[in-house]
Amino acid sequence: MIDRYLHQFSCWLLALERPTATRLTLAGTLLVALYSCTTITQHPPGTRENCLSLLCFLPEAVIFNPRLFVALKLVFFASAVLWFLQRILPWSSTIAALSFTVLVSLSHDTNYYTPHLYHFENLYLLICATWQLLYRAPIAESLRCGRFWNTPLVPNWVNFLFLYYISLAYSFSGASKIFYSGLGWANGLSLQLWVKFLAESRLDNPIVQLLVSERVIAFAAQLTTLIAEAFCWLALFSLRLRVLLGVLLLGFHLTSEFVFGLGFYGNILGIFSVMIVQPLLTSTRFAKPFAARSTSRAFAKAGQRSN
Amino acid sequence: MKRSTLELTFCCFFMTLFALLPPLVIDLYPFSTYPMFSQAPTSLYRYTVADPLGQPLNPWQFSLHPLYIANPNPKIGIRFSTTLNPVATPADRDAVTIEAKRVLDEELPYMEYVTITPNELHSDNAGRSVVSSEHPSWKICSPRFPRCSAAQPAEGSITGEIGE
Repeated sequence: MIDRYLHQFSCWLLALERPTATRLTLAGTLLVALYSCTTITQHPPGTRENCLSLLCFLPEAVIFNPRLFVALKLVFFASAVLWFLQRILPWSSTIAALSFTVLVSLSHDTNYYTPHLYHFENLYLLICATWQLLYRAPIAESLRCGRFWNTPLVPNWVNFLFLYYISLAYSFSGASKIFYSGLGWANGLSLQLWVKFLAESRLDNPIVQLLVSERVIAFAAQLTTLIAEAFCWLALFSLRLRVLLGVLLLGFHLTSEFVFGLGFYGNILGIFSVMIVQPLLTSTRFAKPFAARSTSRAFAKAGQRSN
Repeated sequence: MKRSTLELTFCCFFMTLFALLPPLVIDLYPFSTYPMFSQAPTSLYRYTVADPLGQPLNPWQFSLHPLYIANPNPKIGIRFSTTLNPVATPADRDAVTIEAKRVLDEELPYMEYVTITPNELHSDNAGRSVVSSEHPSWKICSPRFPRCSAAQPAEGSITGEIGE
């Protein structure tokens, strides 16, 4: 029984889609990453208490080296532009994804606290770079023949892994809130305090004023966020819930940007694309990876590809 | 190795890694449980520091700057500065006094005393909004001025709600 489901799931992961949605998401992610590249900073040396990235084992001369930091930015900038234009693939994609990962990791290891701003865009770049590396031959051929947009080139795992990451990330976030503060996290008061404490310069705005002056509205906003985050893992199993959770999380992020101006553009793009647009545009196979009725089509496509 | 095998291996690796590692490491880029804003505070504190003429001084100099990340167990990387203001709870008055005396002695030797005023942001009585209240000021004398009396109430200290 389990073997059968695993086999069906594997076939579904390997089934191919046309690259339109993935390519557009990738283009948006590259633009967000390029913007991040201009804003990401390196801080001066100080007393280290903890590792904040996997690269913290590197010597301080490397982590705090300003020339290396600028060089990484330039390498990423050049390779990302080439990747955006689909030139020198898969080298441009691999170098862009790796240089961005190293750049963000080094920035984290000079930081006081993890900013959590770059995870989503970085992960999507890494997933897409892996896809372009593994599919370099068919991608090159389709580009050469001018059939890139009409050829099924993107395996379902590309967007599924990103959806998987988004679902787990928000579920962990919701679980952290419940773990540290219980269900009482959503009490309205804490959000009002954060708004008044951290968004002082925006208190003149009517929406911000409404949040600060009406506990009920702040409570509703927090409760919606907690529900959407804690149950985000359900997005993996249901198309309707995925879109609904995507809309709620998008609302949460857009409101947060409006009030606090935090800069979670990678998250916004990822949620909008993978949880809202792609399920509505692509076939039910992507929407329901575990549904039995999709299996026959997935088998057929996987068979075609292996031939 | 066949491409499909590589693809499925990558998927298994990715899914296992991002399901198991974040709860273990909390924040180790690119793994994270996104624990920011997980602490729901009931009040937040700021501190203002003033010289004997009532002119404001930089709270940073007295380690009273707010360094707030709304996370009860933050994983700190590089500590640039220490602060005595935990923001979500009141600062330890004894620790603040010791630090203020040190600053007065070492960095502001000409100053007789400073007044530190805790400012608390909390819920209003109606439970509808948040208000800001100033607590009684703390007068902290410099060890260089033995005649200065800390018991003497600081001028201009106000107590009561001043928020909307």
